[in-house]
Amino acid sequence: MGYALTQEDYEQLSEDLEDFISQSEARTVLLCDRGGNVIASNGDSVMDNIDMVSALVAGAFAATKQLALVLGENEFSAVFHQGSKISIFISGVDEEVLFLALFSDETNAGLVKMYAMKTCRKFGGLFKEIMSREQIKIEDPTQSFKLAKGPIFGP
Amino acid sequence: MSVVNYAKKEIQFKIVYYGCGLCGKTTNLQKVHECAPAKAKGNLTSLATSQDRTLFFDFLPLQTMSIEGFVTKFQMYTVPGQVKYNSTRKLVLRNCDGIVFCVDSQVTKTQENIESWQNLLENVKEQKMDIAELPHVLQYNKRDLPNVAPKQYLDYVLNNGAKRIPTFMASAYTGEGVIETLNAIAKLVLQDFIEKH
Repeated sequence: MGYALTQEDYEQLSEDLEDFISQSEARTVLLCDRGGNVIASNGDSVMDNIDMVSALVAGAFAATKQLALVLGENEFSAVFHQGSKISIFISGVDEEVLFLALFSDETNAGLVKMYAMKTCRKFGGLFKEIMSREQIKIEDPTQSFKLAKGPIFGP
Repeated sequence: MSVVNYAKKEIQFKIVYYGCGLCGKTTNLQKVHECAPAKAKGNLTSLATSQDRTLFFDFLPLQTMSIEGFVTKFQMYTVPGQVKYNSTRKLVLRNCDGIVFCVDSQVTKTQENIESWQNLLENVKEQKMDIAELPHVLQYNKRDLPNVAPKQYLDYVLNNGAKRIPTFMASAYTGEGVIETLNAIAKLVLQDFIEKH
């Protein structure tokens, strides 16, 4: 199992995330998978804690999905948390990927949501292709992944 | 589910600590967090109740250079051990690459350990994963306590399959065996990744 992002995939995602930030005036955008792994991000905040944010976003969205199932919905496709200064908008891109936008009160929630949905639709096709690739291959077929020498986490 | 990012030269893995309530999963992560060099670790996050029982999960990101040319990130999670939180355990197990099954070695906890192990097997199967294909180790924890079962007995109860699971004696409270367990599961996960790619 697993998936790989090529240089080309990553550049495409980064470009689209940058466009999203400039159009929506959100502060930060993050793509992660539903297992909590960071895929790509753009913006100025949360970068020091990006792994933690990604894990919590995946957890929060998964918990909300369970709540939806209990209430007879398949999934709440988007979740919005409003703070006094910072708010977040989380949306499912597809079965595997989540999109998080973090924005301040200097922009408009409706604007963020509109551009987020537009960006998510665009990503849907790209991730369908990424996830459907047969398996992870090292870029240079003459090479293979190699374990570095020494203990992984010290003695 | 491993994630390879060729642009950032980064690979991510997810490791989950599983086991019955109060077996020491959170203490394991706390000890790892305490021992890991500052450069290699992020913050330890715990979603716990007011009584310090894990409600959703604990999370600790670790970073190494275990695969040549790639930053290797291990996202470490614990599940809530209490029986009633099974739906949460399933969520945390999603896309995991390796499991540490933490065993409370006290004789009185044998039944709870067995039930938790059975619960793990059911949840893994439900997620269309095969435990035989998923790297995992057993950690016989709480060896510092007086009423612990002998290793042979725990093996007889929990490690009696045709293929023996690697086991580690530990006391997460004192730190004994914690890093050994972590190194073992990380190595199994990396070997599994390399074999498959």
